[in-house]
Amino acid sequence: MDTRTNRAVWELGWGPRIFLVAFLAASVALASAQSAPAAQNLLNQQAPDFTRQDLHGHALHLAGFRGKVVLLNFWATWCAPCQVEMPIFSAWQRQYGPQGLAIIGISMDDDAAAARQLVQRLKLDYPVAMGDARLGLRYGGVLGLPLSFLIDRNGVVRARFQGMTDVKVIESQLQLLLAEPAQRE
Amino acid sequence: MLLQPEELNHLLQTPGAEKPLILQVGSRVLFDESHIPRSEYAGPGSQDTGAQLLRNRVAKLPRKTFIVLYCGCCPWNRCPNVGPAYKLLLDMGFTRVKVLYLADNFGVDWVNKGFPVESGH
Repeated sequence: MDTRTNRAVWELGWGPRIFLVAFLAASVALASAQSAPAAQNLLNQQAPDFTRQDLHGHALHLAGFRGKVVLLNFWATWCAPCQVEMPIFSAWQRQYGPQGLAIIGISMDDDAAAARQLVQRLKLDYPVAMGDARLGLRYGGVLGLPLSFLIDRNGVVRARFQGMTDVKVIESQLQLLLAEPAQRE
Repeated sequence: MLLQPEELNHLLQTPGAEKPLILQVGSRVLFDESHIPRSEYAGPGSQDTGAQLLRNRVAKLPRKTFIVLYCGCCPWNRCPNVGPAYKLLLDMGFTRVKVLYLADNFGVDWVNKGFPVESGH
């Protein structure tokens, strides 16, 4: 603010001054929200770490999967394409698990009961946890489903699949990552 | 019935233009991440809880209220929410309901186009 504006604010008195400060703070917050990048590009970046409880109450810590190739899949019960992919992911867990594949599901449902019901119905045999807005924003904004990330054995995001994706494309990429050795730290 | 994202954005940016009541009928989690400024969360249209929330929100409104529904959770032709929500409002007698056409999802068709968003509840 310039000198003249400062003086004008000072002459307002305490009540209007407090209001003005609150208004300016709100304006800055809104502006930052409006100018936020649409989707942060996580490719070739370290995958944002998180710790959650899975739907069985077990701790799920992403960093604990270091050394494995992780397919991190955001889904929801009301997302039809998600339900096409998930049984396939479950089959991959059985097929590629011995080679080091770990699939993690993150439900973006509002209600854990609905997610639990679907996981049981589909007989998913990989861990699933509930997500939230904060986790979604850390992954660049989960603003459409399904959304999956392939994370290599070193914890680096190597691919991002938004929306309905040919599962053969995902499978061929995860096969390549499974063939890569982990770097020693 | 359909409203393109560009049309809605233009409407929101135009001083004096009639501003619709904008209701998000998808996921609360996705709404908290990002939503259209001044829009309200009205529950997933495909679920009973969502339908009830939407019904309660509009129950006392004049039937000529200009309402825009949107979801953007999934590709348009797979979205389970906007169809039931739209039908519910028509069944309740609302005559000026439009649905925001988000071909892929809210991220691609609204946020990535640089249209204004807000986060939080």
